[in-house]
Amino acid sequence: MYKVHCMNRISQAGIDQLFGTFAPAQGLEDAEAVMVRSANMHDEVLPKDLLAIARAGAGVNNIPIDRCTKNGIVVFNTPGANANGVKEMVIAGMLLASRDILGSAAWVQEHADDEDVAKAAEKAKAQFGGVEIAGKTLGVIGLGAIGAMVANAGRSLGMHVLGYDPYLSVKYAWSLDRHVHAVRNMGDIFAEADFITIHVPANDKTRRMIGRDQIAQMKRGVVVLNFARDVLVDESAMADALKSGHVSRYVTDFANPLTTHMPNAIVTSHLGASTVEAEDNCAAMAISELREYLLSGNITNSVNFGDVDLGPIETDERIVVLHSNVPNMIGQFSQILSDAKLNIENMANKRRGEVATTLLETSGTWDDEVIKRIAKLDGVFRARMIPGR
Amino acid sequence: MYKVHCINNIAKVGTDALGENFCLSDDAASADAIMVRSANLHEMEFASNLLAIARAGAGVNNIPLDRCAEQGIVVFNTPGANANGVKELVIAGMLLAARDICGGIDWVERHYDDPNVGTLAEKAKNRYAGTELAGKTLGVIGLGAIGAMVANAGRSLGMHVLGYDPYLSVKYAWSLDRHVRHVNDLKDIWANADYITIHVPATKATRGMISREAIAAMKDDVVVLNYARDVLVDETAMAEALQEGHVARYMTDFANDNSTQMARAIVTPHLGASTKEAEDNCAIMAANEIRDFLINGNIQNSVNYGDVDLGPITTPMRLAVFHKNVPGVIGAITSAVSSAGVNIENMTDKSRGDYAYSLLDLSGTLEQSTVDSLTNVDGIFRVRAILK
Repeated sequence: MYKVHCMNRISQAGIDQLFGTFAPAQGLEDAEAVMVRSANMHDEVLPKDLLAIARAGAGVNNIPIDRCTKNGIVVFNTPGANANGVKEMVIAGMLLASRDILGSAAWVQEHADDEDVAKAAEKAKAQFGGVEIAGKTLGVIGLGAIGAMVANAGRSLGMHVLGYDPYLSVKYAWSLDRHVHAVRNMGDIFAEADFITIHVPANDKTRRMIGRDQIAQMKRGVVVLNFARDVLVDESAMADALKSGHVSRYVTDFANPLTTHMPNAIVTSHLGASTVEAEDNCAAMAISELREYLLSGNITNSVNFGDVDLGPIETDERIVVLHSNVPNMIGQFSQILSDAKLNIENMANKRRGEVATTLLETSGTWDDEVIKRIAKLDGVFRARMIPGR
Repeated sequence: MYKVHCINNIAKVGTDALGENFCLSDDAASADAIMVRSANLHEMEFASNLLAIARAGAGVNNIPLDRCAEQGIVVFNTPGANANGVKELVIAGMLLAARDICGGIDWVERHYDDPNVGTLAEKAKNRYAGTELAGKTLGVIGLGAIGAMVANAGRSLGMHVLGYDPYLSVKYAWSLDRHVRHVNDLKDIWANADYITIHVPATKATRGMISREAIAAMKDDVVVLNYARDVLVDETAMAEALQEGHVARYMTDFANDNSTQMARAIVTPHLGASTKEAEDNCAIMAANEIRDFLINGNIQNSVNYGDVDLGPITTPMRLAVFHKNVPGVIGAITSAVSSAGVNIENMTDKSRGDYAYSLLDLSGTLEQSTVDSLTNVDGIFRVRAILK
């Protein structure tokens, strides 16, 4: 039984699923797999036997990805498991931005003991009035699991929706309401949208993609929503735009010393995935990813190795090799196997950037030397054998 | 040229919608119609030439309906014009009840000067976590303009939706998502719904309909939303249910001595229709009602006379008669018309409570003396002869 260590608390439903298949590790030091939510792992020592880290959630900034890759540790996340939770926050964010519901509820609390609060409320309410979101234009940047759901929700709330995603997958394209208008240029969103929401991962290309120039192109009075990552927005430019009134509201799920000091910002405490359902979905998805990888070598939703799937193991053994994406790796593997008189029954190889994953199923008389020889090859991060039938 | 006097500030898109043949007047005494929002008209004297009062909004507590009816003044309101505004507030209410977004924002505001606010937030956020709307059951009581929109919105958010409305009209039945399940007994809503929202007018029959017994029959941790009228809910019983934790949240748009003191209530100061769009829609709808009534005599969305619509005038004269809903009046009208040698091409009569309205398309025109004699008939409040 593989030993799994949980870095964060997970739900009881998750624990039940997890330890039906796996055993609890003493700690990180003897773990073969790790479940983590937002705990920071950058300063942790990664044990030699650690095969996989599953992040129950989307963002993996808390995990030392490069170090994991070099040590042959597959890192998974759970994209889409929290999508509905985030979508509902985005809807709430749009509604809170368009009418001052929060200010008005605070007004009622302040006047709770007034003699005729109902009458006073009728007079006070004008200051909290606003606009409706129906009929307005929503721009969605990034149409992955979350962005696609947000775009569809915008449509069903009567909004015009513009979507931008140069890497749109067939899966999400298919899920989109056909009235979501695809734009090829983010500038179209800046020029048209009354509400702009961003749903892209944080990487070198997307960092500060909502910069000073982009904000300047937006319509005056625009509402910007950020339930993705704070680094996507140049927040000092945003602070200036809020001060000048160019942006009417910045609704963000990321509290930091910049956002908390912005006028007209609505800052929540990273609640996007803070629902029972999202946590259950994330945990269930993370557990199923770990189970597939540890027991079958199949990889789905990894952030550092390519996805490969040969289904359940149909042969005597399956070999999983994580390696550099350099010429002649597969040639060397097959040479070693044929030297050991093992036949390759099935094989899958998937490259991802500078690394690759290879799955090999063999028949013949197994020899443990095979794995040792493969593991010693230059460019191989890790090789392991999973017994089959 | 008809004169319209605005008592409150009416959105310009509304007064523009009156169109040609209308002008705005500062003088209430000479006006043919009044447009009003929430100003109290109970003490106001109405001039004999006043034909209509249009309330840009739904509630008409500020207007003396019976006195108007007896003077032959039609009072209109604008039901449904604010429906989307209320619907959006109901959605916000459900989302704020499902997850403690307000608490999370509040936490951030209290820690705004802490340089480690981001890290601290990660630790604090569990307190404000909650659940999602998708997959939960929403019960909608009253499927009029607002309720039907709320029910459809619930469906599009992935909720199971139960709808209750014994008076459901074809119009709204048609507009409903076919997956909204119609229940015939409120008990089905109490027993199954995680969220219950009420969208019925306040009448004797509906007052206190969310009673102590109803609340007791609801599921534990239910969220109750009231964006209709506070009198619909037994708020003493609600306060106790919140205190005990049986009801998880009471979201209400009505601040009063009860609701402001409740635990776990989120109270807004009657913001349901407080959007620019709702105000514009109300004003446009009120203007359309006034125009169709003054030009054609048609009544739509009146609160003191029945709705009557003969379309645009196609005969030389259309006669509009405001009268008591008593026997003999229609006979008096028709015999006066036939004695004048004029044929009735179309006629419709609609009663509403004690009052009724008859509209007749005539093949010829009546003399003023005939019109005056009709006006003197017992039970007739007013006669309008409108020329094509």
